[in-house]
Amino acid sequence: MAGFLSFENISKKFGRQTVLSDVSFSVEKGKIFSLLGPSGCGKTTLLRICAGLESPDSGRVILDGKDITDLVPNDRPVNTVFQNYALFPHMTIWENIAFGPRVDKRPKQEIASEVEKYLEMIQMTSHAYKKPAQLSGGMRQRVALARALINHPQVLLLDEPLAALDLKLRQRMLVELDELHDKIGITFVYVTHDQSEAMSISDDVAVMNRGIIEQMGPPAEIYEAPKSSFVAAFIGDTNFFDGTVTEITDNDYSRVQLENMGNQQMLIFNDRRLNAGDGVHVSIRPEKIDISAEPPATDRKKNILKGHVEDIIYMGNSTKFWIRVGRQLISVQKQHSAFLLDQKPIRFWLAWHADNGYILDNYQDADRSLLPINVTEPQKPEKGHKQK
Amino acid sequence: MEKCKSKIPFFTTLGIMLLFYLPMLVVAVDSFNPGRYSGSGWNGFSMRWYVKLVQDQDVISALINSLIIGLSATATAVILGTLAAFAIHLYTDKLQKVHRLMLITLLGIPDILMGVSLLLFFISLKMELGLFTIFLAHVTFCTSFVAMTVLARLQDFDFSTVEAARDLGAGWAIIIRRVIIPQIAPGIIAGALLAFTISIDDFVITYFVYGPGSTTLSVYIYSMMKHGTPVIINALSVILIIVTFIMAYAINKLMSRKNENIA
Ligand SMILES: Nc1ncnc2c1ncn2[C@@H]1O[C@H](COP(=O)(O)OP(=O)(O)O)[C@@H](O)[C@H]1O
Ligand SMILES: [Mg+2]
Repeated sequence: MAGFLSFENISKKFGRQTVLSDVSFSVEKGKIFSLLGPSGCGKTTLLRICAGLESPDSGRVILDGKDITDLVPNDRPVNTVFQNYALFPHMTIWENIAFGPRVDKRPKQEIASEVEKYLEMIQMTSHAYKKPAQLSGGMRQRVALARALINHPQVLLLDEPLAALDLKLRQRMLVELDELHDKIGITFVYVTHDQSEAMSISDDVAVMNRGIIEQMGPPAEIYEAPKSSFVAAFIGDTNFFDGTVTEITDNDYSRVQLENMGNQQMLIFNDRRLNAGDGVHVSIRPEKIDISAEPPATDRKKNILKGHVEDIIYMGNSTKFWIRVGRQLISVQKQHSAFLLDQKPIRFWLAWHADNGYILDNYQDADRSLLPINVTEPQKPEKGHKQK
Repeated sequence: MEKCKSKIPFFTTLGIMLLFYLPMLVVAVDSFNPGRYSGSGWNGFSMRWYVKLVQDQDVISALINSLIIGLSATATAVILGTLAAFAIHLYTDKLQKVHRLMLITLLGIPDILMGVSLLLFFISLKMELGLFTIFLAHVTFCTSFVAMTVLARLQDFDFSTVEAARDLGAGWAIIIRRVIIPQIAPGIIAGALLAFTISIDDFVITYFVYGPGSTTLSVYIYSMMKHGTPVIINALSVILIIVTFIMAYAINKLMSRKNENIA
């Protein structure tokens, strides 16, 4: 798949530390592509390689069919919104935005009218002669955007553009960014460590971990069908089950004997041609599991387990249940479940469809530590109560 | 926070003022006294010594020497000191740690030691003592002062602005002129003023390395004290004090001005 902007086998070391190893991906024209990963995984380095501020040890960057790997930053039709915005503190907002066009030696008149236009676009005309230090975080972010966009880049690189803002403002700016993208229609490469940002704004997401891309695809696919324990745990919440395949049934389903859970067997979709006897790791999202106080209706493709309540956390928009089955603690998240709280049952039935469990290609025990732990810190413990 | 109500700060300040500035005040008053000898009583206000001062050829030529040294040493030190500050700030390896220590040490070494060692050094190189040797000597300590003030300024300098400029298409010439220099200018100017003031004021080091025909103002004042005519020194001192005050005020203003990117 040759996209508009392609990274081909990019590797980069700083001293002995490998920061990127053989990273390849491509971005379609006019789309928002996100690089999502924890801090230190190499996202910024990848952006800097694209901007020309860093050069890769090996690999190529191709933009619109042209190899730009060895071009200096000035010669690339690419601009960046830096993580801390990197506005020029000694210049006014007007001068900050005019910097690119001035370097470009565009005619004075044209610069003035362009700057006015972009000031208007970011609704900062009345702040034109202020210095960056006099602006709020959100305003500075918009100035950084205008300063980059006025150069008409083919690709806009954004390095955690909202990380410095508080939650409410972040949500609003995210919407503004999305609208802006619709309006100007250029390609965005968006770096973030915040999964909800990446999910909500992107056409495609690449999930990075320690210098490699773990998985790439549309947000829904990444969330619904994680290929590795890292992706499953880093994006949203999940349950991991360890087991052994006991039987391949018809239609690509396999029966898996679960460890830690006695003789329980699960039916799981299997497009990977596993064989009986293979050890597997399965991920199931907490909200994909149904919970009820009564035994649920059986179904050929439904897995049903019975467990004890360990903890219930009421979070307002949903309720989280920790259910123990054998030695395994299962997290279940449900909306409209206040009725279950009133009944205070001790036993629950869990049920989930075979298609909702994913056998992971790549499993690391360490990734369990990424799972959010809400047991100790409920967000809104209005009705939360413990049972044993 | 509760303000301290103690009287101690007031008396400390008063003590310092008296101790430091009373002698200068005496000199200043005396400089307007037309009497030939200090201590001969107040004989009315007069600008006599100031007139005499500006008519004194030797004073003028010493002043010119001082200015030549001060300006050239400062200009050289601004370039060397700024480069040194960047090297120390950007590279945190062993070499630069030693570099930093050496620059700071230079500020603390007794002048007399510097003077002696520079003199021995110049002699061993068979250099003729004169304006050039004074210039070299002054460059050494001036560079330290500039490096220190620029280094202080660099603590606040956000290097990502340099990357932003590159990203926006600027070459190094534009980046240095329009992004780096304007941001560290207060540090450079403060360092230059400090270096210039100290160069003009320096006596000890200069005394060791000056030669015939390269008498500077401070050396000249010393020789005037030794060979009669001390009265016009008062007038000269007052002028020097005023200039130094203005410089100190400017340096203080520049150094306390924070980078505007600190919100
Ligand atoms: N100039 C550099 N010199 C040495 N190490 C660096 C440099 N830049 C980044 N690194 C290291 O590379 C790794 C990835 O950094 P970065 O790309 O900034 O990660 P991210 O943006 O995902 O947080 C980090 O461990 C960081 O310490
Ligand atoms: Mg980063």
